[in-house]
Amino acid sequence: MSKWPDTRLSRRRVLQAAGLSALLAGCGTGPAARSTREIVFWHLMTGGDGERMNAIVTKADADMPDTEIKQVVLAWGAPYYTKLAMSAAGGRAPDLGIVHMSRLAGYAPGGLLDPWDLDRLARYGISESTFTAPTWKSSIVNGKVYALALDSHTFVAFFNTELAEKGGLLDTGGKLPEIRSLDDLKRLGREFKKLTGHKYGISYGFLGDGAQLWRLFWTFYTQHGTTFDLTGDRFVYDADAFGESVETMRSLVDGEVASNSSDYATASSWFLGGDTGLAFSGVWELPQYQDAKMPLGAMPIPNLFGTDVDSTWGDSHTFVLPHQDNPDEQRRELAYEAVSKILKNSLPWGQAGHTPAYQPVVNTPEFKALRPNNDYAVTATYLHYDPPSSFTGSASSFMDQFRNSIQNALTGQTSVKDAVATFAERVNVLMSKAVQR
Amino acid sequence: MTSATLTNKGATTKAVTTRPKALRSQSGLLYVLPFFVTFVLFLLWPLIYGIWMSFTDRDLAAGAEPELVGFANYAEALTDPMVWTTFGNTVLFTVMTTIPLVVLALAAALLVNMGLPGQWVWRMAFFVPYLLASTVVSLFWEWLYNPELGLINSVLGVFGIEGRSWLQDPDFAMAAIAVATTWWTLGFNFLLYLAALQNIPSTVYEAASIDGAGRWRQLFSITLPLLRNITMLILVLQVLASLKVFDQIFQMTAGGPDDSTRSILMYVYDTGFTNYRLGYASAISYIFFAIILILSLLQLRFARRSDQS
Amino acid sequence: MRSINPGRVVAFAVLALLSLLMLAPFLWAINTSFKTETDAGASPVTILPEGGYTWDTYVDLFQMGSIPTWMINSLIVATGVTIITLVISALAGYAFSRLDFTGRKLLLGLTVASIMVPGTIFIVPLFDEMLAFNMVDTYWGMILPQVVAPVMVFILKRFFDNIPRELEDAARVDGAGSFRIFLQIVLPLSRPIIAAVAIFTFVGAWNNFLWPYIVTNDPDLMTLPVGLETVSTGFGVVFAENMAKSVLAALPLIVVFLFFQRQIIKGIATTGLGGQ
Repeated sequence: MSKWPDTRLSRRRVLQAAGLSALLAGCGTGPAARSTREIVFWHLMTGGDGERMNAIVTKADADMPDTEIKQVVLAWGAPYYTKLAMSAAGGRAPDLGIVHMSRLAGYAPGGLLDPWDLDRLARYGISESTFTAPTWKSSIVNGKVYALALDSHTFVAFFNTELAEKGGLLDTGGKLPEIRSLDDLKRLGREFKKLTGHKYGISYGFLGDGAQLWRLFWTFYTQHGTTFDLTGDRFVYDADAFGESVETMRSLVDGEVASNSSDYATASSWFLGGDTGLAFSGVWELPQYQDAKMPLGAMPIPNLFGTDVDSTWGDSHTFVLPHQDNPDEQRRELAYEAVSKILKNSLPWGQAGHTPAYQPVVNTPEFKALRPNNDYAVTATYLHYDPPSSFTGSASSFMDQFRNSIQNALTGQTSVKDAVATFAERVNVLMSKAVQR
Repeated sequence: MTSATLTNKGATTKAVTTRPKALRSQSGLLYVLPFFVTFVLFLLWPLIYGIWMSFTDRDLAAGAEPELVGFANYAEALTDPMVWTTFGNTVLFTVMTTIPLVVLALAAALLVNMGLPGQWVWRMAFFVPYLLASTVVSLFWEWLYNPELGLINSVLGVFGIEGRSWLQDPDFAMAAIAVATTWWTLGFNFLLYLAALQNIPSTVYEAASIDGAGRWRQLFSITLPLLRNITMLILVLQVLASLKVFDQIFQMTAGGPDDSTRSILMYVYDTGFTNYRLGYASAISYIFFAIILILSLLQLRFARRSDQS
Repeated sequence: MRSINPGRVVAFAVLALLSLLMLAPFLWAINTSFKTETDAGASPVTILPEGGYTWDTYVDLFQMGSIPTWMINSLIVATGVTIITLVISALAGYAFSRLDFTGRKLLLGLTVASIMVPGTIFIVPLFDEMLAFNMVDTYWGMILPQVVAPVMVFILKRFFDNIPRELEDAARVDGAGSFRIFLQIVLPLSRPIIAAVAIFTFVGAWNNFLWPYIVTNDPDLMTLPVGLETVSTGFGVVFAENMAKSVLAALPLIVVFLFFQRQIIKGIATTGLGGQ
């Protein structure tokens, strides 16, 4: 029985009666009723990511006769997550969705997601052993698996190899000199600035962008070997590590080496145009740079604090089953099949910069040959996800509060100490205002 | 269609100005039925249903039945600093937009009403932004305000003024949104003023000219006093509209930086749909509704009183 | 043409400057939309692009196909809202103006009082209601909550009040019922106000953001303003693309405006007196 009643048909009839028949007939855009052989898949991949997602979905689709995987692409950010939650609450959720691992804690416990069935997954060759341990561990909420990771994506440093070569900065292996401190980094930035004559040497866009601020911060903070605890009544954090991390960011965006007023797109376009030599950004930017035929290198973000801890901010795109009141069994089975096919075909996804989560793909020689992907693939083994809670994660209000408090320290409007204190206070408010379940 | 029962009584009224006596006919109920069905379903019922919701812990995500929590949501809202911050922001926005939207609209209408050549162009220039969707307005202005690549800072740079990150600076973000909003909706008030100006009979001015009153005298002693009623109306409409601000803030700054632009309606949205707490969001709505209601009544009272004087 | 005096010259200059300021965002957006992304993102900012102007961004947008779909949805929703609002408001306005029935006073009072109720405040209970009615992600879910316009009922009633009764007397003598009088006499005489209400409602519904945004999750059903905000078409550097999208979205109503300038201005000026 179809869960999709004929409201669409009757809607069409009524509209026709209202004199819009010509319009509808002319354009034929009344949304088609969903058949049982169609599954609807929501994601937030656009641009290069979107093209590659489209390629692997199309391939999976081709392997599944009589089935159509309909992709619906929403803008990344809070709207996507709010829309996904509202559609799950509205009972017309898509059959398959993408959720960032960092948002899982906000979705699974509230009943917005349905868990994956392990036996069924095993039939499609997916099990604990096909993922890395940290990824699998993060997929489990209250003892059930809610998320199947497609990838891990981390924050890295891209650099322009042509510029670096011109300045004689590269060693014989084509790598930049080792960076062990903020001074090393800024020296490098000044070298790049000299080479291009541009205002800045390093691109780091953060203005109005909580996510970008958070990614670099969380990298620096976790390099101190510490984390946040949001599980109790109050926010627990390491104040020294917090302060030092923000101070380092502030010193980096000094208006000389890096702009203190560039947003994501602006910083990205500078690096793309060869104006800056180094960019702190997510691995998902790789296709855009490669499409522009940039001479591109990449490396993990070095530890600037002498702590010897390898760490970086990271997240995963994961497949989830948005909650449906009465799931259609056949369509649900198709969702399992589609995910297994997509995971097994995720090499092109790796070409888009992300490191595939499905281990059999990572272990292929084809993946190992990818450059500069393989130069930072190691970050997938030590990345740190955001601290789990119902209000944290990708594009969350936690990110907004992070921007609200910390950006002012970077632009010099408040002191680092005040910014950190403000943030801590706000997290305590978020904790008290979070939904109680 | 049911035929109306005709009685001669009601059909005999004459003058246009006096309220025509209505025809006694129960079929009137049929006429108002469609309107009242939608009225009850989509205005009255949400209003009543929302009151119930505001006393529960209704959670967007949870499948469980909501439980009654008494006045807990209201108690929480009254002590929630964000309710007061966002209310303050909303009032600030209302002040920042209402004043220019009245003054500039009036000035533009007065200028256009002088009958200078190019009427068509002036009207279009002032009115066309009003035809845009909020999304488009936001995209336009985010681009204009872009700190490194935007037109505004480039132009300021030509004059040697260093621009700012308008939308990312807590001191300027709300003002920046108010400027964009003024640009967007100025045309509406402009048209109302223009229509009112054109309704002033030219004989009034002719009489004044004969008495020797100059243009400025005429403006202050004839035009502006005659525009008092329309100004009152525009003020009321503008305040009510500004208090409900959501779209352009949601799109341009999402309430940031530092919550400096978060409006109360945005907080309702975030609480209900992003943090899933529908019950609490409803309670905030009702507190806001009560405030608007009180403001409206005060305005009405004020308008009446100044009418009598 | 009147004689030239210095005051008028100054006024003209001020007016020209203000108009230029008002039009500048459009001009800048159009200019950007025809640049390549590289030129749009070039700093320092230049007016003329280094690499010349191009149509490519527009071609890409049309090939992606979402924008035409959203335009059609906007048209369906705005037309639906306009027709239904007109029909139910005119019927109610007529009854309040011409017919005396039980509860008339109460209902009229309710209508007038609700003019002051800002409906948008109740998005949360309304959304919950839509969940219960299974109307989330339907055209009806977008249309119906937008058709309740007490202010339009009031405006129409006031206009009907001012139509002289004598005109109806002859028809009544011929035995015409109230509905025939409404259709054949009152409505034809009310063309200007009907046009005004229609235009005002249409513009409002076409541009409405908050409610359609809340009630649609399926991008195939979204209206233009909602789709632009929710659905992504690009990634990274999309300055030119954003402006091209905006220009496309702005175009339909602006074209309509250029054709019906007089009616629209008059319409807004008359109905705006009670509008939102």
